[in-house]
Amino acid sequence: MQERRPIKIGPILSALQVVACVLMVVVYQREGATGPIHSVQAAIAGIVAPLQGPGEAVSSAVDDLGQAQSDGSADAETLSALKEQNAQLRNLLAQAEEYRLKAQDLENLLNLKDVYDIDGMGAHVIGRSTDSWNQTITLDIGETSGVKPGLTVMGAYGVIGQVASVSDKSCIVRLLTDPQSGVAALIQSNRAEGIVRGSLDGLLYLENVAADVSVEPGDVVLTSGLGGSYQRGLLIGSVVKVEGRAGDATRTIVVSPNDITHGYEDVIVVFEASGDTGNSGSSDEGSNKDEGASS
Amino acid sequence: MDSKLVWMVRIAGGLVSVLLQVAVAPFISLGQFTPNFIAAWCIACTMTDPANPPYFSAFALGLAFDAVGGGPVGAMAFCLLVVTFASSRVFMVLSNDTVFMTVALIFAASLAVEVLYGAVLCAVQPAFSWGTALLYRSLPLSLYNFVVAVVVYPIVAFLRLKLAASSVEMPII
Repeated sequence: MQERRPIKIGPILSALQVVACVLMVVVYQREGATGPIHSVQAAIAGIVAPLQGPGEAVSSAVDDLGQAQSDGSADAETLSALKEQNAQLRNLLAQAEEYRLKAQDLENLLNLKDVYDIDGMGAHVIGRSTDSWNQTITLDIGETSGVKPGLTVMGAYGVIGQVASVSDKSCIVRLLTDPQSGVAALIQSNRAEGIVRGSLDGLLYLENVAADVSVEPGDVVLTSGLGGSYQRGLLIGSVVKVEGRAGDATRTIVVSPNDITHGYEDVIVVFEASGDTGNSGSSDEGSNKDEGASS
Repeated sequence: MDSKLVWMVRIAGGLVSVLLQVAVAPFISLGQFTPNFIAAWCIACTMTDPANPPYFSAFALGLAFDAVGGGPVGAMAFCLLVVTFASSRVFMVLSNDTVFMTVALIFAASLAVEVLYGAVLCAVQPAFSWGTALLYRSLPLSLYNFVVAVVVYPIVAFLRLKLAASSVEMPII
């Protein structure tokens, strides 16, 4: 009688894991931003974000290391008292500078809030993207503060992205420069509409602009509010490069975001906004405010 | 070698790699390129012990990578599972554990992880184009991951040797 070979569990388990991965990817893609996997992902991002605090501190400490090394090469005996005093003063100065920068940041945010008549909530950036394929940040406010997927997020100088997924106390914001980002936009000077997209090469491209429209470097680009995904009339950036001319079907328009994509600490999640900074007197803005709010 | 010890080392190393991915990787990125400590750890484990590839680590750590990142959950787990399986089989078939071959396979595995991940993203997200993903992400990232994996590999090999030495019993004469 032939002896039966024992069934190996390892390969079966591995195959099941592969199937589970494929299923998860499919479900993730199909469930939308409010689905359970997205919510779990946002919650985990909120939980692990504080771990980045020490990393940030180490990063700045490494920057200071070179400075400390050059300081250390001086004659310690003669300079020790002065050094100590200097260190204290430097510490105070650093604190004051930190407060000043923070105040400036908050002031800019407040100014922006006034300019656009924004109904929004300030938030602190608590985490950054841990991989190269996604450009996201994590904020310290979530569903309990009224944040929903799709809301516009602004930095001190303009739009920086959109809420991608939300958990109770945190949310993930997909930045404009992420390849998956797309904003319905308009050029302020000639009101031509298009879509600003992020890309893997790190640039913002203005696409789908009508071929007969003339676009020049320096033209200001705003959100158009079309499609309802972003509030209308918020500043995105300005055109920095145009390859090709009007009438050219393969024209490439590069937009420089008005807000820097790294280094911001405080942002505003926009619940509602009004106004188009370019044509503040135009009559169609009031009606668009309601459209934007309903989105 | 005691399989419990191997498991413990893999779990501890996996936790450290997740911690490094969350707390350190964003701050040592070169331009837009952030290293993948998790992939480096899985590849190093595979190369040190190709007969017992870390499938479960690849699955769990891949999920952790996806969960803390912003990509589709399951994508990196899938890539790591496929690459650990393929690279361990290639290593066994070649049966050549010289330094050059090991380093070459580490590079191939690093490249495979990023190319496969790029392919998955291109397949599920229309915003990604294959050529751009390969040029602007997969190739530079695989180089960065390769460097990290080459640094991690000797550590894993050393730990494995230590474990092997500690589990050898003295012969009774």
